[in-house]
Amino acid sequence: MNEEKNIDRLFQEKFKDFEMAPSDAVWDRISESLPKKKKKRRVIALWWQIGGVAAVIALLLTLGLSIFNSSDENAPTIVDTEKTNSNSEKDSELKGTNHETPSSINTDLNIADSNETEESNSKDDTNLDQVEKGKETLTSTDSKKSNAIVNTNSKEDKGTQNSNKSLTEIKDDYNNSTTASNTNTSESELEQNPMNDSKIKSVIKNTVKNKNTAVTANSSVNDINEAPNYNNSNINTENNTEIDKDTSLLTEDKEKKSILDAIADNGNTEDIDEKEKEDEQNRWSIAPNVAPVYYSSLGQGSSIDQQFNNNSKSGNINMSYGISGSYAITSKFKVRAGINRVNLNQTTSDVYAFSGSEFAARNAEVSMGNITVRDGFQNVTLMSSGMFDSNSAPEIFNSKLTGSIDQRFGFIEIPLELEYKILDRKFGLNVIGGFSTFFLNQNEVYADIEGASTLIGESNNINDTSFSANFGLGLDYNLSTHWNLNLEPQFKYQINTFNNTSGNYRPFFIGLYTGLSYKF
Amino acid sequence: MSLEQLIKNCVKQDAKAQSQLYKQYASKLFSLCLKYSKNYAEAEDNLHDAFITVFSKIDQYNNKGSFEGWLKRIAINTSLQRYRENVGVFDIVNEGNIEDVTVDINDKDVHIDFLLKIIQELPDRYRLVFNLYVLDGYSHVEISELINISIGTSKSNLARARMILKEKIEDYKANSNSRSL
Repeated sequence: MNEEKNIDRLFQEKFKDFEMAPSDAVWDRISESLPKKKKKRRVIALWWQIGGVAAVIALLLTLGLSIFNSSDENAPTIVDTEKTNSNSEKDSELKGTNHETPSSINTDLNIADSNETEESNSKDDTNLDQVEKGKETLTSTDSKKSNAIVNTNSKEDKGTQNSNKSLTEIKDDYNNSTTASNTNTSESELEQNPMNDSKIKSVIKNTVKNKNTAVTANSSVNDINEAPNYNNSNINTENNTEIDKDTSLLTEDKEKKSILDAIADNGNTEDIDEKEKEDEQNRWSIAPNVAPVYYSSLGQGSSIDQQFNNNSKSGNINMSYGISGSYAITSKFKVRAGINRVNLNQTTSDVYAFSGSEFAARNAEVSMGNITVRDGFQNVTLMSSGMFDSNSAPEIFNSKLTGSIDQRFGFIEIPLELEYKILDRKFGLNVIGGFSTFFLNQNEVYADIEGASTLIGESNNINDTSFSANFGLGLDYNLSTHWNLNLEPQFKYQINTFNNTSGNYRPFFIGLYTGLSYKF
Repeated sequence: MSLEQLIKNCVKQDAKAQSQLYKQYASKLFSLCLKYSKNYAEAEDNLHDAFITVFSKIDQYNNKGSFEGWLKRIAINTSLQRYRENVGVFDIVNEGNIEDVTVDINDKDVHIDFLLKIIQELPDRYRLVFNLYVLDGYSHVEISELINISIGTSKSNLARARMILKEKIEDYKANSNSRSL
């Protein structure tokens, strides 16, 4: 029943069709460490990205200006198209950059790799052929080795002079030279491949050792260890391979350098890789923020009445606070939206305030068209000091009171912005562009007369819904993997805020947004 | 998709193609890695490294010769790599050349898992030499170059490996016989 069986046959038969599926985790690890795209694509995509930002900003600018200059009735519809336009812009952005998350590390590594391979290219080619020929390579490699002898006799001599090595070092050198000589065996086409990881490790271990003496030390080790096993032919081939190893010294030095470069690259870029992985994991972030905001306007003009066009106006520093969330589309691009509470105010100074029905009746032309006066304050009249001609000023004006008009607005702001990362280090630098929608929720006009502030009414020309085009610069500081400190000076150019302004009144506000963002 | 097209797409680093290539060859290469490694975890590491190499060097595959053969050589070389680094662990033995080791066993009595286990339990260099010579058809000359040992060492390692395997199979047989009694 049982037969005497050659043990080789037993294993050969059993292992002939042996296959075993590895666990899924292996593929996960492999796919994680694979580079995603090639460099060439990257460059193109980068231009797409930059071009995209420029396009979005240009679009917002033109739309913003055209809306501002167009009639009010049309404004809302135009603003709608703005919204969709910028959305589609973002979509195309998405398409352009989506599959484009290659790590610079990988391309760097590839470069290092290719340098390496180029250096040993000629060898590779011949070796490739050898591999193709399979086991018949023996004869051809032999002839090659004899060539090598001719070429490198002098080199060998030098090497043997150096061979007086202490025994303790021989082991290390032996390690060194085995890794070194790997590239020269007939299989080097295959062997140089794993260089990236495992080999680099061994090189790190061994680089301290003198490379020149390595090979000769190796030969002596071989002699000591293997001598008993040699028959004559063996010694011949063995010597030949040793010489072959010597010839490799020249290229080996170079190679080692490139390997070291690769290690350096590896070290540098691993950080980036980690960061990138992190980014992939932490696409979302949420950031509460506060900002001092300053409201002002470009150009002379007034939102109240043309009589105030030339009055000096100033804004107080108010606060805006809110929360925003962002999503990283790529490592460079983020879309973000949020909700903020914004208070703005503007003080128009050099205003005279009169009270008394007599005056109000006599000066009907003194208008404050854009202020709806509260009940009980109909008698108050506000006039720009510029209206006065001191010579003709009637006696009654002696009772004038100097003061100012203080307009206070509050909005709920919903920003929708695109953030582009210029610098991604411990300190990050971003460019931000987008727009905000504002919903009016506070509207008061105060008369500040001789230090006393009285609520006299509200502006009637503020739209319930208005917009702004936003530009900003974001600075952030990495506190940890999850926490970032942000500082974002932003300029918000207001669009469609007022219906009926006089002069060249173009309001804007500046905010210095500070916040703490949490990535998850 | 033809193999040629699949390889082309892998050269372009197309993620889908890479995944498909992996699925197609993972089992074959993993069995290879298992033979050359001393345990499952090491085999997985080697498989990982081998595929990373495959994907990074696939543009160097020139469509001559069998692609599977190319993959296998990479897997074998990756597995050997580990032992080239730790060349110091190789013990130096000088044994006579024993060619024909036979074992008295019925095929059906031994399971592949057991054979794999005893291969993995072999001392590192014995395992490499046995695999290369017996299971993957390398000559002693090639082996000597691959793992940087002499041809004589390769031969004696092979003989020692055969002896150890034979002993283990016979032990196993004795145990299973006594169990069945």
